Amino acid sequence: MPITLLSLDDVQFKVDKEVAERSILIKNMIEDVGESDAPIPLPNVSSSVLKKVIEYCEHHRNDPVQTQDETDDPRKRSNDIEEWDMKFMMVDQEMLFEIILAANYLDIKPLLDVGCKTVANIIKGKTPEEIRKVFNIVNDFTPEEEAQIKKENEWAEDR
Amino acid sequence: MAPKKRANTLPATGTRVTRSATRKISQPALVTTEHEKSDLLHTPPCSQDIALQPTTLTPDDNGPSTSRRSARAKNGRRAASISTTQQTDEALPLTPPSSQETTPLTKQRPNRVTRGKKTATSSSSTLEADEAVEAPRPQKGKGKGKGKDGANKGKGSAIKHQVPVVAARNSKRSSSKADLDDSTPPPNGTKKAKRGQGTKTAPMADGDNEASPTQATPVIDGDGIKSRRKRARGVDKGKEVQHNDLQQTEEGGQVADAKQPKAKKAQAAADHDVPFDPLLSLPMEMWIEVFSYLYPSELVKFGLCSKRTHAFVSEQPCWAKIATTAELPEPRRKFSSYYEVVRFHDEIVCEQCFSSSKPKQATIARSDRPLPVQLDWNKQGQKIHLCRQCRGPYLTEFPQYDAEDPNYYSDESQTLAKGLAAEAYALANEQLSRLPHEIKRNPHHLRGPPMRLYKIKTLRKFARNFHGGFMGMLLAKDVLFKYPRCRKPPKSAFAADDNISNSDNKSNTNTNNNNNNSNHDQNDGGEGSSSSASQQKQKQKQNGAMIVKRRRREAPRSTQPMDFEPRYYQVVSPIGSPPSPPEWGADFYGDHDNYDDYEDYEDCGPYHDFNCGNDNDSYPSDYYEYP
Repeated sequence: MPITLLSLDDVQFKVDKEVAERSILIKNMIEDVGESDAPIPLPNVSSSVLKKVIEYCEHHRNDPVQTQDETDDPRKRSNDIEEWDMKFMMVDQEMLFEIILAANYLDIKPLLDVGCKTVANIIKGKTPEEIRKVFNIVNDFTPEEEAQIKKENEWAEDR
Repeated sequence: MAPKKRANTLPATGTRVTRSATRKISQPALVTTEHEKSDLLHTPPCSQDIALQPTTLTPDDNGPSTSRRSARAKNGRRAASISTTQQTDEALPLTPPSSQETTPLTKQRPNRVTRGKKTATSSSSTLEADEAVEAPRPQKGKGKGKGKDGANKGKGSAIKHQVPVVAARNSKRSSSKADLDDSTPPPNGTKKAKRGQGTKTAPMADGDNEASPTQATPVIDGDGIKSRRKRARGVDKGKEVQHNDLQQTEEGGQVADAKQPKAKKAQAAADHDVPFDPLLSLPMEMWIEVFSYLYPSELVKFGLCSKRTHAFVSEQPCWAKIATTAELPEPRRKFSSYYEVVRFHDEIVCEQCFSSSKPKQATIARSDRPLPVQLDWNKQGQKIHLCRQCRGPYLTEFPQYDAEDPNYYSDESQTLAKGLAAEAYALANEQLSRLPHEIKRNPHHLRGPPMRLYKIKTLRKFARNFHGGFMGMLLAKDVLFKYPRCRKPPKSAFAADDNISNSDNKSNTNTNNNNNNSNHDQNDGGEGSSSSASQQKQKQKQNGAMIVKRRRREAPRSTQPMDFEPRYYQVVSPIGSPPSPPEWGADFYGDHDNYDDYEDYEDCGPYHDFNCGNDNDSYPSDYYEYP
């Protein structure tokens, strides 16, 4: 049975129930309301982001539900991202952050993990100067402050 | 028609107009609601005085509160205003007013908004005169927008008449931030406008004031009737503008555009020159989740980007978790936060399991210290510090990131005696006793304990796994140990042995070299300081060699490898067999390459604990009473 999702800008998306229920939020709403033809409003998700989210859910419609044990210590988890997911996440930063927010709102844990991993991988292995360039961060340290803070965090700089 | 309902002579709901003849009322006080401002945009120049008057909406428009004030209006004024309003609507395709009309008016306009005590009590003529005088004036700095109507900016009311709503608002959108600041109403006006009065906002008389957040936009219905939409202050300007664009361009109804939000965001970002800020794009919870995928050193690097990121990172809750896991002290006087605590103890905290390892005197424990390990995903030398437990599996998975033993590919078929094996690979008796070895006859004493020979290949493999890589092995051998915050370096028997061997081997050569150097210095004429320094060095070395020799004499018997032999045979002997002399045991058991054989013996014998005890253990009381 297809389910209609209504985005922030009043764009309707018809998706399979199985796909829509990858979102815990939508799943709970369907369970609460029952089956109906009325569109499910998603006022926090724009149509462009919702389209990407639906694309992700359709690709991972058959994936098993993630167990909670795997998420105990994130550092022990692998930061590797599947190839498809990596290509899926090759969007501009604004869209990437919006996808993360939408995944958080819709309660799609795998998508949220992939988004956070992607952001973490952007930060990883880069010097502060490179991170500034990537995220367009302005260095507002004075030379003295920068020297001081570098000295204090020398252990991280050397690594 | 809607214009007929409008009574321009009286202030609208919440409108306050001072009635003083000295004209303390500022022009924005007259017209401040969105409705009124939008009306101004469509007011022809000929009816400017009327348009600038505070408009009073009919009860149909604004409710009963408006009707009460409108009831005070005089009938004549109302009629006049209605008639002029009709003219206004008819003359919507506006022509710009002459500068002579606007300039004197703006000169008389006060900058501040004064709150009138009375409303609409004076005569209509006086009021109209006041209002006419308080026409908008062009302000300096306005109209600097980069929009398509930027050329018309700065002309005050003329722009309003010349440019319809969309153009004026586009110019507002494209104005710089400084323009926005200039056009921001003073606090008084803002405060009053927020109260719902809606008529006290100051910035009215410039070219930009059409885009005030409090203004209302006329919406043309399908019947061509203007209705009014009132918005709350602070509504997204880009949203309003785009909405008005649509309504101006497409008459007869609202238009739903799917691309509107994105376009609005892009427009707003471009207009206000606000760069994309990642820290503000995600809430704190999301950043915590993101940072959970980073090692502490990587997180610190992110914090070095700017002051905000530094504050952002230092306030992360992960530092408290790390400090708690590593059993670090709580932040008190010296360290004000967990971040500083962890930063101070960075060299003893593993970045993966967050366990801490403090410098200990035990040789084996030294390899517990976190050591740099190159990460797999980064080929550019990015390293994290891992403890021995975390290093082992990591290097097993990624052996290419372990530092290479320079002698790794040497002849591995050679064997080492137990003492040399313990020294070379920093292994204690407990580990060596579990390794496969072969037993040979003692070459020095016929009745002495036999030698235990270990294959180098076996030793290397075991040591690398045990110490967490070759670097850990070096660390355990004191090669890498720096004692960063330890006043007294821990004693090491192996280090002492190294010194002994080095000093023994090089003592003669050093002496010769020093003599040669001193002679050379003397020949060069610099015999003073260099010769004394070399002599001092020589003395120090001699003293060091003496100290080492004395330590060797006074060292516990545990450092002598053959000390364990009798006990070893005691343990590995089959149960029930009498204690045997070493020679006999060696002949009996022969060579053993299978490690499992020894394991079985260890577990079944009555002296199991005895074998693994420390070196100072005495023989059991029933040793000689063994059946």
